[in-house]
Amino acid sequence: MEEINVEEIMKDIRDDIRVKGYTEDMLSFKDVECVKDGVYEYDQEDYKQLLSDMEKRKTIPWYCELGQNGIRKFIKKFIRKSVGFLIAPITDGQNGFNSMVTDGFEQLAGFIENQKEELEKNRRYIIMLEEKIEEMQQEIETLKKK
Amino acid sequence: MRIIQLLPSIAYGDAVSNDAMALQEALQRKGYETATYAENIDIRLSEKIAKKINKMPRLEKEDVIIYHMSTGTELNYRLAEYDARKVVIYHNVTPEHFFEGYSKRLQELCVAGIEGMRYLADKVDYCMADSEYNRQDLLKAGYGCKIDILPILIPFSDYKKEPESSIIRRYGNDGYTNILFTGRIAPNKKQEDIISAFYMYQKYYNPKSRLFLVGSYKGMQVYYQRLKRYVKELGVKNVFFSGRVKFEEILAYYSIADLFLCMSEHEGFCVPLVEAMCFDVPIVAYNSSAVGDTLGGAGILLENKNYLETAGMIEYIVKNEEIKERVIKGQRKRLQYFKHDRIEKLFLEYMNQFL
Repeated sequence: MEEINVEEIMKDIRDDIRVKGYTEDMLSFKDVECVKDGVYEYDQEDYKQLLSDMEKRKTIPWYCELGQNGIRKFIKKFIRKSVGFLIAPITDGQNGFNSMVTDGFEQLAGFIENQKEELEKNRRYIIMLEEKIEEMQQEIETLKKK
Repeated sequence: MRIIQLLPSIAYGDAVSNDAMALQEALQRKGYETATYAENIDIRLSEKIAKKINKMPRLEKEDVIIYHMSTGTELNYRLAEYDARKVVIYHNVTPEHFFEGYSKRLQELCVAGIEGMRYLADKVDYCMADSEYNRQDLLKAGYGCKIDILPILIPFSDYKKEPESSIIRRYGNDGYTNILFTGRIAPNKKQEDIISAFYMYQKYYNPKSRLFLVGSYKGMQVYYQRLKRYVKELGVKNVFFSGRVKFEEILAYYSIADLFLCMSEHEGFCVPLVEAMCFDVPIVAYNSSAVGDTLGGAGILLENKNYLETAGMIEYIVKNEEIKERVIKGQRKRLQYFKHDRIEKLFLEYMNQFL
């Protein structure tokens, strides 16, 4: 195999870094706090992905596809038909529950969005009030001087 | 005589499981009576591929168990009790210190894995290790039996499947440089170092760049969240965490990648390096554990972990067509070593010698 002289390339790279004055100043990973085990931070993108995955997987069919042919398939088909009256209502129940959970999570997503809007509205309102207070304090100061 | 493969878990997309499945096919083709048994089986896998361990038949003295060792499990101890010839394929156990502060459960699993590995040192008849690094681990643990090196058997024909077009449409050929790393989000793989090097690259060399960290973060949410915080606090743009993806999506990420960056500090083999070779994606990797063994002189192997210099190396390769071609040429040559037929033949030869 044709060897590439990495050290030689690295020497050129180091020279180039020195000439251009690049520095490795940056935030270290060690300085980033670790969240506690089991405590998750809300991340809008992750949450959207979770909702989309839940939506795709919430319905479980009561039967599974039988791949192989021949006698084994016939027997499995027979068993599937025989127990269908038991399995189908159970999966129906599970699917109903899954639907409710998914709906719940979607409602939560809506709630989070509403809360975010509400918080933003309140934040702007607080800023406006702070500005007003400052104006009024200035007016008081001027009045006091008079 | 039967040849039984034994492993704790078998699932789609996991390197050890894929290896076991590929070896099973090889044994079947050679006409051996063989089966695979596991404690946990992915529900998508049919009984033809793997059966629950409690269905394992009673073994005779002339039967052979091939045990895939990679984690802490009761199987490490149960293996010694079977009245059959025992072969270990060692995929390595991640040292527990990597998981400190992230997952107590995984830490315990790793400790148990290493203890189990040591326990079996004088109880097996033959070993195969994915890499020289793994072989050295076994020797250090006191394994006195013969140990051969058998790289992971990779079914390259699967990589010819159609990649997910939506990813290619979204990120391919749009003037951005795409840096890729594939593999579970895990502290031993040091995704934070990839982010740091990418930050330097984006800051000094190429603002029109993206980083894709492709892999599941299941069970590693704490580390994943810390990485996300790091990205946010650094202010580095265009860092994408894919989460768990379908195989076709992995193929798409390789298709759009301009460079594969690996800063991992613990790998028993590192299948993604071979995958990158398969897709002609130039590799820049930090020399640790089995990474150097797998690259075997191909790609660019960095001896020091310096983010700025790594960024400089990324720029050097991405911008320099001549060196890029040389790297790819070297990788293509190295890929021949991992050819499915070659590794399969090697495995069957090893088995023949053992039997």
